[in-house]
Amino acid sequence: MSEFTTASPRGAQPERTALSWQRTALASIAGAAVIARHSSETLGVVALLLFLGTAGLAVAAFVLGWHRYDLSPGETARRRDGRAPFALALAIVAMALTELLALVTPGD
Amino acid sequence: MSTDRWPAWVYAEGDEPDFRFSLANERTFLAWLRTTLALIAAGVAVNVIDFGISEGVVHGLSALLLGLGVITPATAFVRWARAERAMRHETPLPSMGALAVVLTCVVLLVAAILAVVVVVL
Repeated sequence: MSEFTTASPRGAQPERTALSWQRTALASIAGAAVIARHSSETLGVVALLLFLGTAGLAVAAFVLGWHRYDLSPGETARRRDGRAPFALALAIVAMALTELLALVTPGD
Repeated sequence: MSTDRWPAWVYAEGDEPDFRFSLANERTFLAWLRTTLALIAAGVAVNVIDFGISEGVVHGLSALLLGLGVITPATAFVRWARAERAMRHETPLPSMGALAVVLTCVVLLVAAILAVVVVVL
């Protein structure tokens, strides 16, 4: 059998979760950029400010998500809490609200 | 028992669960967030693509999808926290509750309207 089929599943858990954090945070940053571009005609500088706030939260979640699985040898998992999940959830709520705001704001 | 981990109502009591379950709970939370990103993208797409229907209907559909984009991350965070708390207390996991019903109904509604618009009109 190959090394992969005999390896303990415990070892892959932190890495898999870290990758999940990274791709979700990156998708959030990309989505925020698209929404900022789309809503900039209606919201102007407000769209840029909202994008900076959203992207900042997503970057914070990316860094937190990375750091807590960056393990030392022998360490199984670092102590985690709800700060990173909250930051990323808030970023995505802000993203949806930005687009909703652009939707209800009268255009030129 | 005091704790510096946030939120305290999750971490102040109970025992640390098997980390594999805790990580699986996080990945489920992140999957909900990615689902939300798809809903938001759909909300923008409905607004951008010209379906040849009235502006009011377009704005209504877009607002429904974007509204889910606001509700779903908040509910997903609460679901994650309740599941983490339940695991620490070794109690049954909480159900998804109304979120799954609301999400399914709204997505089906928007899909049905778009299907009628694209296929029939």
